[in-house]
Amino acid sequence: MKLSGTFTTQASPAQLARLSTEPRQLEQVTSLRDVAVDAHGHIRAIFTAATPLGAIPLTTTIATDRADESSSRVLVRGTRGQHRVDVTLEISYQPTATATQVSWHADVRLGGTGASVAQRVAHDIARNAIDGVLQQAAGQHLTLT
Amino acid sequence: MTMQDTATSTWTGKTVPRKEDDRLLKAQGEFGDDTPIAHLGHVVFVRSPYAHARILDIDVSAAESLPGYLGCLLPDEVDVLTDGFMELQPAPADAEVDKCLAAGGKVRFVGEPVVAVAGTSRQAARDVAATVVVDYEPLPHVVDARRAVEPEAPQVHDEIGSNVAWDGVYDWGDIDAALKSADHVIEVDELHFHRFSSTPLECSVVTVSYDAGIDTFNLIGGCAMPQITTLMMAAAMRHPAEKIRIVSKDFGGSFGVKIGMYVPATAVALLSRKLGRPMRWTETRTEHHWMGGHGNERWFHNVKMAVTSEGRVLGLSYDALDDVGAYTRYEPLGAVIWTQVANACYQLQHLKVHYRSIYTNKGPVHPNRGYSRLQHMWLVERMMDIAAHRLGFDPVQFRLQNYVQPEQYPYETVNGCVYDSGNLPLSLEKALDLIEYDDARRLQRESAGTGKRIGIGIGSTLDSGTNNFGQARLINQFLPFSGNTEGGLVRMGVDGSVYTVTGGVAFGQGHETTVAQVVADMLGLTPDEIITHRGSDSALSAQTGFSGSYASQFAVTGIGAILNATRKLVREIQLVAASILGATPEEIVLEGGHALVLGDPERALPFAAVAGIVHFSPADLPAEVADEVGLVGRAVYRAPFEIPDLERKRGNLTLTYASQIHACVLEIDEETGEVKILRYGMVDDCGTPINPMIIQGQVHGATVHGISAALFEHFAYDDDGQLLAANFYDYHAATALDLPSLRYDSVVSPSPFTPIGAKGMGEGGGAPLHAIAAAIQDAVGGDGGVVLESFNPPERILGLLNGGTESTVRVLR
Amino acid sequence: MTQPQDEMLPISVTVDGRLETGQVSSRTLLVHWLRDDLDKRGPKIGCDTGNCGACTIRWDGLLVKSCMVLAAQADDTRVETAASLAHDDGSLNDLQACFKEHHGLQCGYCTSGMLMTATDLLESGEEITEHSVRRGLKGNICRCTGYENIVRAVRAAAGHDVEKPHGAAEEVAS
Repeated sequence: MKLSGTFTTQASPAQLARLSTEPRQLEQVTSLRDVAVDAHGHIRAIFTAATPLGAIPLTTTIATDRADESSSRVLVRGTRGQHRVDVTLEISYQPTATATQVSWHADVRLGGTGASVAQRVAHDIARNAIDGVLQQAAGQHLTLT
Repeated sequence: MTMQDTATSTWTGKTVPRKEDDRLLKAQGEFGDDTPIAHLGHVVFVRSPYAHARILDIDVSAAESLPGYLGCLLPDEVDVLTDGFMELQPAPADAEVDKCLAAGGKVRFVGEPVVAVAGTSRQAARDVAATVVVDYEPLPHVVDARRAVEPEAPQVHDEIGSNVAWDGVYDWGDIDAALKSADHVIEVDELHFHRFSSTPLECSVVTVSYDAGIDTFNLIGGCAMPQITTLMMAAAMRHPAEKIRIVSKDFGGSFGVKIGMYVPATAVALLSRKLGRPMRWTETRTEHHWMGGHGNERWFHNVKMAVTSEGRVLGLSYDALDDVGAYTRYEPLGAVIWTQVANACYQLQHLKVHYRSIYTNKGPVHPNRGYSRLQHMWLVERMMDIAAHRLGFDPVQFRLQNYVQPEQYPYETVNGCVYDSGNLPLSLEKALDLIEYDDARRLQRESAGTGKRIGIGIGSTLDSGTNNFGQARLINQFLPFSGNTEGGLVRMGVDGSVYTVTGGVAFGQGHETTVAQVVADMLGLTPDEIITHRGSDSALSAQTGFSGSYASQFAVTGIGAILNATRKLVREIQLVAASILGATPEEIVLEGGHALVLGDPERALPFAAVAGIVHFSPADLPAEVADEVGLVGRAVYRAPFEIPDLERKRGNLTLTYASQIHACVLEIDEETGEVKILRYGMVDDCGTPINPMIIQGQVHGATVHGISAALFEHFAYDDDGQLLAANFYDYHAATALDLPSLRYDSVVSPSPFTPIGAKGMGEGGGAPLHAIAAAIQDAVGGDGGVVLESFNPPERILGLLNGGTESTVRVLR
Repeated sequence: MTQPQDEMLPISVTVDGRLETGQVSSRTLLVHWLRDDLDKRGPKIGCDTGNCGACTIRWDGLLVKSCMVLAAQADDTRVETAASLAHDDGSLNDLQACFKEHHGLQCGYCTSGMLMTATDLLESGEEITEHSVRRGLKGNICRCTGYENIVRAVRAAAGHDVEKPHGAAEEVAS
C-alpha cells in the first residue's frame, strides 16, 4: 500500500532531519509513549493507532536508514498480538520563504490478521497515523497545506 | 461377504432417509463448539505475522493484569514438555522439527502459532492475546517452490540443508524409447495446479479436559483420524496412548484437511494440564485458512507425451515440484499417493516422473478431497486435451480410444495397481447425454461472433479408495506401515436393543444410515431399530490404527468391519436361541426382532428374551454357550494387501477405483472473461451402492468443490508471504447463485474385491477442474492460448483469449 | 491492548418464544450470547465476517446474521433460531421434512442458517423459481451438498414437483 502526504511546518530542515532519532522530541507526540533507544540505536516506543475498532498500541521500532537536510528514509516496524505493520517512509524537506514543506511517501505492508479483513480499513488508518505523527513531531507551528 | 449373508436385502442398496437428519434439522446436533463444559477456559493462539522470522523476545507481561487471564504456553515450555511430532520423510529432511508452537526459535509461515494464551471466556482470551508482544527479526522467505529449489534460496528448515522434503524418480515402462519412436510428441514447459482447500464450514474445535486423578487427556472435537491423532500426540507428549481419549460428536466437515488436528490439540492439552481446567480452542476462519491445511500445489515441468499416429497415447514423463508449505505433517505421502492412479483413466504403458516435495514459507498442506491424485489426473487430462487439440483428434474419440476398456478389468497399471472394475466408455456416453452434447455443439457454432464463446469439456477421473498403507514405504522404506484395517462393534443391550459403532468418523457422509441399513438386513430389523453411535469414541474399542474418514474407504472398510462384527453377534444370538429352542445354531434365522427356527416360526425367541437370558439369566444356558456369548460383536475388516515391491516401486496400492466422468458446457464473455456454466453432468460409478441418495449427494458436493476451485478459490500468497485469502471475502467459496443445476447419472460396476461390491467414493477425483479447463480450452479455440493453470479467474481467461502461450507448448513431431 | 472496561448491560430477549434475561458486555455479539449463555445451537459460526450465513436468525421478523448484531442491540426484541421451526410435538415442519426427503444436508453445520433463510424466502411472497431460490440462498455457504439438493428441498417446500434423490423411486416404506 503506497501512501503520501504533504504539510508545512515552522521547523527547519535540520531540525526535521533529526526528528526520527530524537527520543525527547518524539515523546511530545501524543500517540507515542515509552520512547527509548535500544541497543542498536533504534527508537523503541509504543505507538497507539486510533482505529474504528478502538485504540491498538503497537510495539514499534523506528530505524533511521538515512537522514540529511533534504530528506530522510525511516523504517518503522510495529507489532502487537498477531498484527504487523511495516512502513518504509521517505520524507523530503523543501524550504519555503517562511517555513518548510514536508512531503512524505510511505510503503506500508500489513502482516498477519492485519493483512486479512483489516486491509479494507487500513488505508485511512495508516495515512492518518503517519501524517499525525509527522506533523506533531515537526512541532506546534503547523500550517496545513 | 455376499448379499446372501444378510438375512434379507430389504435395506442395503436402497435410498433410505438419513438417521442423522432429524437432530441436525432441529438444531439438536452437537458440534465441537456446542458441547457445554463446566469451568471451561478458552485458548487463543498468537500467530506469526511474518512468513519467516527469528523470534527475539516474547512478552506476555501485559496479560497478567487483565481480568480473566488464566495463563499461557510458550515455545520454551513446549520444547521441554514435548518431542517433535513424528516425521514420515527419510533423511535428511527428517531433521525437520515440528511442534505445537513455533520450534527452533523461528516462525516459518504467516499464521504459525507462537504463544497459546488462556482466558476465562472467549473475549478474555482474545483480549489477552492482543497484549502479547513478540519481537521478530524478519528473515528472507520463499513462497514459490520453483525458487525454493534454487541453490541460494532461503532455508525453511536450517537443519535440513535444502528445501527438498522428498526427492524420487518413478520410472515404469520405457518412456524414453516411446518418446523416441512415437509418431507424435507433445511437450509443455510448465503447468501449474494451484492451492485451495475444501474449507469445511465448521472450523476446527478441540476441547481438552485433563483428568489429573487418572492422568488422562479427554479430547472432544471432530477428529477425522482418531488413532493416528492419538499416536502423534502420545509420542510427542510422552504420554500413554490409552490415557488419551478422543470423542467426536457432530462434525462440520473435514474433507481430509482436519487430519492435522494433533498439532493444535497438543497445545490445548498441555494448557489444560498446566492450568488444571478444561480448555477449548475454537479456530477462527482466518486461522483455518492460515494453518487448517491447504491442498497440494504442484508445478509440472518438462512434460512430454508420446502419441501414435492412430491416436494411441503411449505414455508421458514430467518433473513435479509439490509445494508442501512450511511443514510436512501428512506429507510427503502425497509423493506416493498420486501413483494409485498412475494411469489415470488410460491405457498408458510408460510413465516417468521425477517428483520432489518442496518446503516453502506457506501454510502446510494437508490431504484435501482428491488428495494428490487429482493433481496428477489434472495433468494427464490436460495433456490428453492439449494433444487432442494440437494433433487434430476429436477430444471425445481420443479419450474413448485411450480409456481402459470394460473387458480389460481387472486392469493392471504401469506400477502394478489393479483397477477393479468400471465402464468408462458407457460413463462418458451418459455424461455427454446429460449435457446434450450434440445440441451443445450446435449452441457453440451459433455463438460464433456474438461476443460469447461456448466451450465443452470432459473430465475423466478415478477415485481410488482403501489405501494400502504399505505404499508409505515407497517414500521411506523404514516406515512400519502396511495394509489397511477398520474396526466395528455391534452389541445387544440388556433389553435386546441393538447398538453399533464403527471407527469411521463421519462428517456428513451418512455413516449412521448406511451402517443401520446393512446391520438391519443382517439382524432382520429396520434401520430405525438400529441405534447408531454418533461420531466416534476411542474408548469404545471400535477403532484400529487406520480408523477414520479419509481416502474414500468407508463403504469398503467401515461397512466391511460392521458386517464382520454383526456376523459375530448373529452367531451368538443363534447359539443362545438354538439352546433355548432346541435347535442347531444353523437352523436359527433372524426376522422381525426374533430368532426363530427355520421352517418352524412358532419356535421363536424375541431379541429381548435373548438379551434377558444372556445378561440376567445365564444359568438358563448351557455352560459352553454362557461362557462364550457376551452379545458384543467386535471385528476388524482387513483389506487384502501385500507390501509393495520397494525396488521397482510396484504394487497394488488401493483396493477400489470408483470413476467419475464429468462433462460441462460453459460460456465465456469475451469482454469480461467471466465464465458461466450452462450445463453440468456427472456420471458416477462406485460399484454396488449402499444408499444411492447419499452417493449422489457426495457427487454433488465434490463437484461443487471442484467447480469452485477451478473458478473462484485460490490460496494465493503475495511476495511478502502474506496469504491473500484469509477469510471468506477474499476466498470465495461458491454460493448457490454461482452454480448451475447439476445433472447426475450413474453406472454400476460392482467391485470384485470388496465385501458387497461397493467401492469407496466421495472424494471425486477433482473432475470439475479437468472438465472446466478442457471446456475453457474448447471455448478459447485454436487461435488462443493453452490452458496451463488449474485456476482460471476472468483475468486469466482474458489472457488466454489473447494467446501468448505458444512458445511453451510444442508439437515436436 | 489496554483493557477496555467493558460496560455490562442487562438485556431481556424473547428467544424461540421464551423470555431470556442476561448481562452482556457492550461488545458481545448476539451469536455468542445465544450460543455461550443460552446454549442455543441453531446459530453456528463459520466465518466471523458475515459471509457464511451459518448464524442466520430472525430478529423481530427480520432475517439477520447474528454475528453482525450486538447482543445489547437485541434488548427487548424477539429472536427466532432454527430450534423454533419444528412442530410442538417434535416432528419436522414442511421445510425440514423436504430437506430430509431431498437430502438437503450432509454435515448439518450450515443447515440451521439455510433453514432460516429459506423460511424467510418462502414467507416473503417472492415467486419461487430455481433462480430466486439460488439468489435467496446466496448469503449462506454450504461446503457439503453443492446446494443442488438444498435448492430442490426449498422448491419442494414451495410445492414444486422436483426431481427426487437418486434411487428414491425404489424407496421402501420406513
